[in-house]
This record gives sequence, structure tokens and C-alpha cells, in this order.
Amino acid sequence: MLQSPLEKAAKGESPWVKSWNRFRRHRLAMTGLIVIIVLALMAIFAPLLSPYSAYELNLADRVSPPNLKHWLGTDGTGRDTWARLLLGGRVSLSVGLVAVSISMAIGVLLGGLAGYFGGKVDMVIMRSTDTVMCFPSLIIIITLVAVVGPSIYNTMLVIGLLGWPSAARIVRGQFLYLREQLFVEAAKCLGVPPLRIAFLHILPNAIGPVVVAATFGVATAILMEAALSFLGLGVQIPTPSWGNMLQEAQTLTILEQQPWRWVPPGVMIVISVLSINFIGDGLRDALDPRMVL
Amino acid sequence: MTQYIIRRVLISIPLLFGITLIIFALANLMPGDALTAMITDEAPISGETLAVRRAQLGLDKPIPIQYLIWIRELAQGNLGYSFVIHIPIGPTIARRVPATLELMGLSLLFSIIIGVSLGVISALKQYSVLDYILTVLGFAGSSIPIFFLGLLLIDIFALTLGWLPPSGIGTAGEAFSLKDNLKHLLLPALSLGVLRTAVFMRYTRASMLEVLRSEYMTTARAKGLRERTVVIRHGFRNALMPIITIIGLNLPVLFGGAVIIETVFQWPGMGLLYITAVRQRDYPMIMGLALISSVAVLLSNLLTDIAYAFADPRIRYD
Repeated sequence: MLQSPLEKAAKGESPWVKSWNRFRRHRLAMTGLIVIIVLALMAIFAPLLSPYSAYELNLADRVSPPNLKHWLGTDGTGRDTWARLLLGGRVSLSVGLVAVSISMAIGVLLGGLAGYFGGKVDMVIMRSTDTVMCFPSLIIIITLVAVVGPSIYNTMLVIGLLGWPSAARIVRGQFLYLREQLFVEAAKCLGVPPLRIAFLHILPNAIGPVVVAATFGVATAILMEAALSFLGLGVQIPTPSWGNMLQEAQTLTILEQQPWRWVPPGVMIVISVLSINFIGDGLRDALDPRMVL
Repeated sequence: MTQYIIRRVLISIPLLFGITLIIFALANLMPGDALTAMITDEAPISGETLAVRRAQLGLDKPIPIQYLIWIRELAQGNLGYSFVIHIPIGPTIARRVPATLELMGLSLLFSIIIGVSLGVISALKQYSVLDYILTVLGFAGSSIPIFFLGLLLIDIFALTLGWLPPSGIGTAGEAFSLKDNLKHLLLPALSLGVLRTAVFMRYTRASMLEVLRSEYMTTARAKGLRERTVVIRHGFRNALMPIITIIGLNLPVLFGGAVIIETVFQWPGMGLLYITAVRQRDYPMIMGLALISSVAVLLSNLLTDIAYAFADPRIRYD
């Protein structure tokens, strides 16, 4: 009698399969996932998808509207917009990924320490988290860029350095709940060292919300990079990024008469950020059913 | 209540200390010091005079002492001198404040009114076609970079249709008129407001759905109250509570957005001043603006929390 439900459970799906099934039913999230895979492939194989180089100047053929030779036209120095769009995607997406990896690493570490040890450690870490959250982040990011100078690596770094507080808060919240659970008690009794318990026993159980936060974080980081590069403080020309391609639209003639130079990168940002937000929404439903919204 | 406010103000003090510490550290990483800002290149000064002035200003003292001197000056409203225009920073920034407040105020008002109403409608018609469309639009609104939206609006409404001016705060050469000013304000305020409209809509929807499921709603209906009264007096008022917090959390983002939108629309507020300062490497000006906007965010968070305590009696007694 006692065996049958256990057997059923043993044959049942693993939590990951269950999550995947929940995710698969989220139509917007699946659409987002497919779009992002396509965009990622385009970014990876960028040079193969266009006969032109993103850097090659061609003064004879500059400012030409979209045609059979140049699908999306050319810019003021005759560079092919399609080629720059592909390579710009590579730059924008990787800045987003690297920046989020940095902020997640910091956030998980600090949030984990605060949540596991509590007391004074918790107070100091959470106070610094509050301080960083209090800053208008774009303004502090621009200030940091003004100190270290604009470049693609500094862009990744400063966006990453300012993005960790929300992750830290989420991880701390999870740890506060998980550290009271029996499996932690058991590990303590076995004499497992505290840091090992925190990061090898508790952290894997808190991974769901972290993945969700990281996904939304990538969307925010891409928007942040676009804004910085648009202002001329992020990725520097001639390296293309979706944000700095839009810099050109600050000239009214280009804005009004040469839409092929600035509309495509803008649309690409919207598509990729929208897809990532859809994926994030699906992941939240799939991994963290307790969370509302 | 008084006790709660006092406690909340006390919590802000270490935050204020943290902010000044970080800004001071950044300022020290930057090239040049307060003295470099005061002298012009036109009149050369000997190295000896510089050393004397530096000592007078306390710039030869150890870093912690310099920090204390800086705090003392800040407390008296002295933010230092601009590297580029060699005039005090405080009054220069103060002149830019009204334009930024006008822009942020209108856009925030717009997003609260539209966002909250759409959120309520969406929740009341959960799973309807309208709810689905609003949800997707909400995602779109929070996925579009605001500078791209601003450029699109300029292209459509200013350049192609010619209905509204593309940039500035008023028509050049004309005397100030409110109508002219508002015409210039409309596009930037709209671009700045769309993102938060989407955010407020999503949170209002979630909060409203949660309230609609609660038992006191059933009680209210069982008492025989009209559906309107139930939804508005019992539902909406309770759903509004968490939204106050969300509005407060969005203020720092609003500051960042203002920097971008003021640049796109050449709106002469603090944000444009800030970007100009960054491009000219005017470090004291950058620091002054970063400090002022951080403190403004800190104060508005404080006000949000106090407003929340007024609205929700449960907060005061924990």
C-alpha cells in the first residue's frame, strides 16, 4: 500500500522536466526563445551572412538607400548597414551577457553571505545594497565611464558593477528561508563547513529565482548599453553596436530622410529585449510558481 | 507615526553617508582638483602660488581630512567650481532644476494616471482579448529604448507631420508662453513616460488581481453593496498600496531617463547639463550633479515610505 505512491513519484518527471513543460506552454516565451536563438545565430555567424565587411569604407557608394547590393543601404562613409547590424548584434548581445554575469556573480556572493550568516554581516551588506539601489544607476554608470573612459570592456564592467543589488536581495531572501530547512540542519550535523553549505547545498535550491532575475537583467543591460552607446559613452565607433548606430539619428536630416540608417538597429533592440522579457516571464511561471506577476 | 518617521529618517543617514563616500571616492579618481577648476589657462600662475592656494584650500591634507572639509563645504551649499566655465556649480545647477522637474513631473503624472487605469481595466477583464493586448503592449512599452521612441516621435510628429516642435523648451526669439512651452514639453514627456506607464500597468494589474481574490471582497458583495462600490472602494483602494512603493522604486530610473530624453530633445535641464559636462570632462560639475540626483532620490524614497505609512496603518505598528 505504502509503496505505490512512492513508485509513482519515482517514475514521475524530474523538477526540470516539469519546469520545461510549464515553460513550453507559455506561448509568448516560446516565441521569444525562438527569436533569440535566431538572433544569437545571426550574431555568431555575422561575417558569413553578408558579403560586405562592417568596417570597409566605400566613399563612392555612400548614403545609398536600400537596394539589391546593399539590403539595408549604406551609412555616411559607405559602410554596409546590414553587415554593421549583424556585427552590432554580436556586440550588443555579448555586452548584455557579460554585464549580467558580472552582476550575478557579485549579487549571488553578497546575497548568499548576507542570507546565510545574518546578523552584522547581513546588516553591512544590505545597507550597501540599499545605498547602491538609491543611486540613479544610469547617472552613476555615466560618471564611472567619465572616470575610466568609454570602451566596450568598460561598458560591460560598469553595467555589471551597478546591477547586482536586485540579485543580492533575491538570493538573500531565498537563503533566509532555505537555511532553516532540515537538509541544512543535516549538513551542519555532518560537519560540512559553512561556506560549502551556503554555496553547494543552499544555492542550487535557490537557482530558479536567480535565473529569472538574470534573464530580466540581460534585457536591462542591453537597454543600458544601447543608451550609453547612443550617448557616445559606450561602445565606440567604428565598432558597431545597435546603440551607437542610432547616434547618427541625432542629425535631423538623417532622422527625416535616411531612416534606413537608424530604424533597423532600433527595431533590433526592441525585438531582442522584448523576446528576452517574454522568456523571463515564461521562466518565472515555470521555475517560481509562488511569485505573482 | 512620529516614531516610524523618526526611525525611517535615521535609516537614511547611513545611506547619505554611503552616497557622499562613493561620490568622494569617484571624485578622487578623476584627474585635477578643486584648484585646477578655479584657475584659467589665460593667466599663468607660478607653482609656488599654486602650492600656497592648495594649502589654503586644504588640498595638501590627508584624504580623510579632505573628505571632512568637503562635507563641511557641502553642508554650506558649496559644490565647488566648474573646470570649464570657472563659476560656482551650485547656482548653475539650481537654474536647471525647474526644467527637469517640469519634464519628470508631467511624465510621471501621465504614467501614473494612464498606467494605473489601464492596469485596473486589465485586471477586471482578466483573460479577455483586451487584457491580452494590454499585456503585450505593456511588454513592448518596457522593451523599447526611450531614445529610440523619442527619435520615432520626433520623426513622425515633428518632422513628417509638423504638428509639434522637434526640440528645445520654447520657440527661440519668442517671449515665454505657457502654450508654447507645453507644446515643446509634450513629446519628451511622452517618450519618458511610456516605460513607466507599462511598469505601473503591470504592477497595478497584479496587485488588483490579488485583491479581487481576497475574502473581504466576497464579504463586501455579500453585504449587498453595488459592484461599483465593491471594486472601487474596497478593491482599488487596497490595490493602490503596493503601487506607491513601485512608484518610489522607479524614481532613480526616471532620473537616468531624463538624461537621455533631455539629450534627444535638447531640453535644457539638469540631464543635458550633465551630458555636456561629461563630454567636456568637467569633473566637479559631473560630481555635483551625481550627488544632487542621488540625494534627491534618497529624499523621494523617504517621502514614499512615509506616504505608504500614512496610507497603510499596518506599517506603523510593526
